[in-house]
Amino acid sequence: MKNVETLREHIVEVISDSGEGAQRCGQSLGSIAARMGNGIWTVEIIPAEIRPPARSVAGASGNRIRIGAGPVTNGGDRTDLVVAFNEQVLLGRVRAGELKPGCTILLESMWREHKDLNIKLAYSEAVEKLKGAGYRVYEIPMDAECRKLGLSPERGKNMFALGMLCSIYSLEPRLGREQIALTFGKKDKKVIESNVKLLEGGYAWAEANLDFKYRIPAQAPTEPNIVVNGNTALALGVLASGMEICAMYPITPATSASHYLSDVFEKVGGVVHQAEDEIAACTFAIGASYAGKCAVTITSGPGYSLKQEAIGLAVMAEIPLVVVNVQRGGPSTGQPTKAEQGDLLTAMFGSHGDAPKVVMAAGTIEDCFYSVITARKIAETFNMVVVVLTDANLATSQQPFPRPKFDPAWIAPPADQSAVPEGMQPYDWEAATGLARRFIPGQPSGMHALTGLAHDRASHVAYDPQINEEGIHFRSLKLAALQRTLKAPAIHGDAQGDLLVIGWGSTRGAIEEAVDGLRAEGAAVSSMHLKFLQPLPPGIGEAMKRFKKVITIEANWCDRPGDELIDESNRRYSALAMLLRARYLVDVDCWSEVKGQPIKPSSIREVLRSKLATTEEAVHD
Amino acid sequence: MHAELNAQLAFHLTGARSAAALEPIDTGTLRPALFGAYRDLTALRYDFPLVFTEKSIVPLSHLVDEALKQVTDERVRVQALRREREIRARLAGGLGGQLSALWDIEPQLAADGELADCDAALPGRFLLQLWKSVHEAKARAFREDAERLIARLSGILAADYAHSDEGRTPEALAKSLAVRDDTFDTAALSRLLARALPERRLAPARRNRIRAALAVLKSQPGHDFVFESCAAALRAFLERRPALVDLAKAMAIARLEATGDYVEAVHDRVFSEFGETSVDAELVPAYLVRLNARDLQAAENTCLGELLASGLPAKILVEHHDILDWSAVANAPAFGAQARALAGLALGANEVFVLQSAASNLHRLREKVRKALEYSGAALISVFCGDYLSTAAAMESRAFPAFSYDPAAAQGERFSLENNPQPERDWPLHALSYEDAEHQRISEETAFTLLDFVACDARYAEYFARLPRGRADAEVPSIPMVDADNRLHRVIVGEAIAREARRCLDAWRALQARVAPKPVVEQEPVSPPAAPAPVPAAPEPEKAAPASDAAYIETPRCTTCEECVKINSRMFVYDANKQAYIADPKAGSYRELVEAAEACQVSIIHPGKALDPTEPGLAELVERAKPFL
Amino acid sequence: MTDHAECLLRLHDERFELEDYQSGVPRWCSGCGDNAILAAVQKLCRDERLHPEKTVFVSGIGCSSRFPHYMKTYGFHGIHGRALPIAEGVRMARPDLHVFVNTGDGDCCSIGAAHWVHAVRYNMNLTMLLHDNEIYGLTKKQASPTSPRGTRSNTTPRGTQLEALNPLTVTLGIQNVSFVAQAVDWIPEVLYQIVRAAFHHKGFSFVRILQRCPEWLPEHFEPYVKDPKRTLLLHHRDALQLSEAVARTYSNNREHDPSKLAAAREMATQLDPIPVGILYRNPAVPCYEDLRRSDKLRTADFIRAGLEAEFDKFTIWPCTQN
Repeated sequence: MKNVETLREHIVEVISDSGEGAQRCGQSLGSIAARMGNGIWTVEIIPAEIRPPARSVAGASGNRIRIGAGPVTNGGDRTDLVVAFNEQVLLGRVRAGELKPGCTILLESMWREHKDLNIKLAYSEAVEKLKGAGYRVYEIPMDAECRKLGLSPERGKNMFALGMLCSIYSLEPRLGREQIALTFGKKDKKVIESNVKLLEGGYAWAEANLDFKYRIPAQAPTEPNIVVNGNTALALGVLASGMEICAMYPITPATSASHYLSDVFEKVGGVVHQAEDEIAACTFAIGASYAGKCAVTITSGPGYSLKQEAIGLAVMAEIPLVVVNVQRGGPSTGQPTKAEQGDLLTAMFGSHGDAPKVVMAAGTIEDCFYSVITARKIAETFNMVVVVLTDANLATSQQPFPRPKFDPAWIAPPADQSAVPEGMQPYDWEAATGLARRFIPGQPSGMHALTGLAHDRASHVAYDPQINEEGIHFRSLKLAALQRTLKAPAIHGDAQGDLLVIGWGSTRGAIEEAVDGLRAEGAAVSSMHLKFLQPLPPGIGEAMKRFKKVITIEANWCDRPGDELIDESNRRYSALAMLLRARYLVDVDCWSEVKGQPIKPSSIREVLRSKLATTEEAVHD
Repeated sequence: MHAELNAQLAFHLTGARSAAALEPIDTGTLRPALFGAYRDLTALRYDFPLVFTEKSIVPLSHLVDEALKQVTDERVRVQALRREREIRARLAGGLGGQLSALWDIEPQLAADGELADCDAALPGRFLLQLWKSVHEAKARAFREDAERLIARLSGILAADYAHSDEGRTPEALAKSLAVRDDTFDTAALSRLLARALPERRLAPARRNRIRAALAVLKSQPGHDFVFESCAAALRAFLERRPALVDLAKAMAIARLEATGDYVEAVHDRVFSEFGETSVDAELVPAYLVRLNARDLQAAENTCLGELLASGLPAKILVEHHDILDWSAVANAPAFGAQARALAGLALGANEVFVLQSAASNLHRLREKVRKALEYSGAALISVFCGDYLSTAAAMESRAFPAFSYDPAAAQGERFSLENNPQPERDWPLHALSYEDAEHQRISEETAFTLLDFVACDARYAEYFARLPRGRADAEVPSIPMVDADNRLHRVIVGEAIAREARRCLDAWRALQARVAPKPVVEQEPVSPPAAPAPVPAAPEPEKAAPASDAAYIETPRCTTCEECVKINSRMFVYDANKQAYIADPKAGSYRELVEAAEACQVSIIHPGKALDPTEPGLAELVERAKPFL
Repeated sequence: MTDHAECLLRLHDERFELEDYQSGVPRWCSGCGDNAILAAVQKLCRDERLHPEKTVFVSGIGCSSRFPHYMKTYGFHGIHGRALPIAEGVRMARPDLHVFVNTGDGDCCSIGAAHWVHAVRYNMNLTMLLHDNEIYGLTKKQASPTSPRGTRSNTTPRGTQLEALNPLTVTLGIQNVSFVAQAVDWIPEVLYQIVRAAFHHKGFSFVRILQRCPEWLPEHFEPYVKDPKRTLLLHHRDALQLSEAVARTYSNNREHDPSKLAAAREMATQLDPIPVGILYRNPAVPCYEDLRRSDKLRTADFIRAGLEAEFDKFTIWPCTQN
């Protein structure tokens, strides 16, 4: 009986060449842990190419699972334990600096005896190097063990690995079996049986041969949760919002949302229209919205740029529209599969002229679901374009959240077709709010020609300078009106202190984890996370006043103060910092990272530490 | 010889059997010669037994044939056919059952269901099943329609609610915003909306109208529509009629409201006058009434007449179990009288679908039966129930011919005698071959008549007398019959029966007379052109252009280019099609006319001659006008 | 409805006049062919008794695209080149509306060319009128893709170097094409008939209307307007039928069967005389919206059911401890 070490959390990676099933193994591990009651956060590890050559350093495909005793809100720091099907993909991860020093490595050992001499050599060299570097390397004959069970390793190795991991983390084998039944549910009994056999084989092997075993305490969940990635959550949000039409054009990383939506939307009578281009996707959605069925278009950076003129039209004509931008690395083609928060300013100020639109950002995977419903409602209440920002990090990560309880109120009522009362005009802007009830085709006596030209209340083309200004005035007022209905964002931590960290979007979990860490060390640091970026909710200014320093943490570029040419006269600030400085005249600092990887809590913690240090100094002199 | 004749005549007229020469017949052994072949029906593959499947009714033999199509293995084929025969025998033996229970062999049959032989119970079952499928299809169509309307109307109310203050309370807004955290101040939003966009509700009248219609559409009780008496059916119908009218009204209102076409000024009156007559026939469910001819007393008869006249789609099945009725009044046979009377009654009321058939023939007529059930009005379905042989014989002998009258069909195609044997003949003729006393094979054409049919009925044995074999031929009406050993006998018939045969024939001829001669098939007209009809609005172009001294415009060619009307909008005016004509030549100068003619790009303005000879510069203008005259 | 109810309901079917569809005073130049197109379309609406509130005109940018402003119906004056996708969105969302598209040679054949090609392929039930004056008007005389070679304009002072693009052959070359016609603004009766046939076609009906621009190309169509012989009228019992008057003025006409694609393509290549009529019609091509729209009732319960079914796939139920 080996002693079982209890852990607060662990980060596990399962990696292989693509097609070897590491993905499934990792996801299953996540689900099992979640059912045990652990907090989890899983991230897909996807090679840039569709089918990279076997055993290639850049070809790692798999899953990264962070398992915690309590709730887990982000991918965390570096990996504690890796299961690798060959040493090359492993080296790739090592070079990327993803592995914690001394990280435990469970490596398929079949290569040591491989008939190809180069492979043999490459393997043994790698193992030596890794051991030399201080990693705990366990060479495991997974292939051979699978054969012993009389099953093919090609298809079964991943379940063998899953079995080992169940043993290592003291997860109930029963849940493993159930998980297999779920994943292979559609397939026939034989498949399930052989996979169960492999699972149990792996479990037994680990029990017998490994000299370590962990336990991560868990509270068994009391309510049903759903585990989806951000893009699936988005798509489910579209379903739940009652929207009927989604127009899109394929683009990474947004597309997977449309893939899933295409599969399920028709079941609830919806349509995913794959348009001929991004502009058509946006204008198609605008046409549908104009006709009374508020529509959504889902895209990523480059596509968002292409939609700008059309978005301006929707703003000018005051047509409700939901635009989802799953941000990726930019500019231009940038980093299609990588995370970045580079589109905030484009989302707010994009499109020529003054084009006020609402901008929201999802901070969690759960947000991805609810934001779409909220966005639809705001769009139709204020007749505005609502941009929902997520990013590649949320898009590909999974985290359980309480299964939503559907409310019929989420669904838009059918288009109003009642007759328009005499004397009403299509743009009867209300003086204080700029709101007007729009006319929808089919409404008797509401006929008018809607136009992207400057227009008066009757939607007649404006030839008189007053009219143009009036329109701009009222379209702008609507943002103020919405702002009046927002509450001050909650503060994570104390309401005052030395340092306030402000963030938006997918960095929420990492920031709050870092802040909690520092607060545990006694630091007077708090954080605030913004869901609405335009309009900015009230109370931010007041909150900032209660802290000595304010800093934003963002995944979009800001100049490094250390650079030779950079000083306050030319430093380019990160997007949110710039907005806060401009609006509140507060000296908001910022720190950012644009590596395409989710920002790690540890990195943030270090940044905040040094920032706090400077605060101390500031206090002392 | 002479005595022979007298004896026969005597029997024929009086029924007196002089001497033992004229033996009575034993219907047990003696059967009509043409039945000779049918002693064992189970050896034959015919429509029965039927299989009552989920969706339809199919003869077992069809199912087997279908299944055998792909079978190549002869053993399987033989085995299947044997099993079919066994099942047929089992049913002939009065046993029923589920097909699948009896068919445990290859090949797999396409369908399964209860087996049913041709017996007294069959017609009732048969009709009930068809009626159900028709009724359910209709009910489904109605439900879908109603659900659509319900959804549309609910949508209108929902849209109204969304713009109302109750739809914009902080609570309602919190729900629709799907907020689960402290992001929104929904109270503020509620106040803001109430102020910026004052609520605008539907006119109360309209909302109430929609609510009322919805209430009716949503509360549709399930009723039973199968009855055992006309009175009960009629009573139920009258009870339910007010609700039916309400429903029809609600549907009509809903349709108008759904498309926003309800105009109170017009429709309020329509619906205040909305009554029974306004009910769409499609909405009225078909009532099925099952009657036994035996119990049809005068009272029920009148009720039946009422029902047929009520315009209610009542489908009345009358089961006849004995068509060789005995007239109590005349104390003499009155074969088929009741069936004829009923048919006459129904055919009298022109709008009734009438169908008559022997049970044996029912499946062959299934499409007609379905038509009768789908028909929007009343239908009388008269069926002679019994075992296959006797019902088939009843039809063969014209005792109970099959016919149908479909009021919905085109003139000339309404009445049909389809399926009757040799419908153009008085009696169907069959070749009968037998051995005579000298053991000569003789083959002759023999008619199958009412006499043959009656001869099978023991009750009337006394009206038949068998001539001794090999003795003189029959001098009075007679039929050929065969005994158990298939020996042929001549059997003479009493006048009372012969008279019935003549009546039967008259009735048959009356039916034949109803069949309209086939109309000459005309050439199919070529499909009408899909092209738009000639322009309705464009006025006819003037045939002959007016005399060139009056100014005019070729209006139909005007392209509405505004040139001329801009020159002088009183002289040049657009017509209802926005094409120009000269409204008043005096409204302007000749110069304007000429300039317009020059400006007109399609050159359709003809200035004619100047009205005012004193107009300055006229000479020059006349020159310029020349090309346009 | 029984006859009784019906005859009562029929009391309420309106008649319409041209005025019911007229809005504002067109700001087109006098002599502009757009006026003729406007008149023809207003006539169509009147004769088809289209409910103004159930009718939508979608346009892009350019002289032609001012069209919706002059119709007393719903209108959507969009952005340059995008009239088609906007109209497609309207159509997908609202099968109950009549949707028309007004676009020009620059709007459709240049900046919006991608949408044009795909609109033909989608074959949604739209009536598209291509106002083709072979020049950019609103931006003050630049060569358009359909300007004949040699056209002098502000961007081609020495004449265009390129052959003109032929919208008819392009459209007829695209998979799923279902209706192609050509009209000229100066034969109003025929223009009306073609627009009417296009309206009645279920699918994407593409009508190219050669349209005079008196401002920038005053002489351009002059020879054709003046000499009826230079217009070739196409008639067929399934297509255009010429009135006596038209046949008299335009004696140069021939029969053309619109069901023959090859013949249509052949005809489309002809430039002088100008072929006018319905070149191609195939009612059998399915409409994208019919293929995609579901006929399900999207009630809250229906959506709930679909959503819960999806949740089930991803739900982790609290495990039953045993």
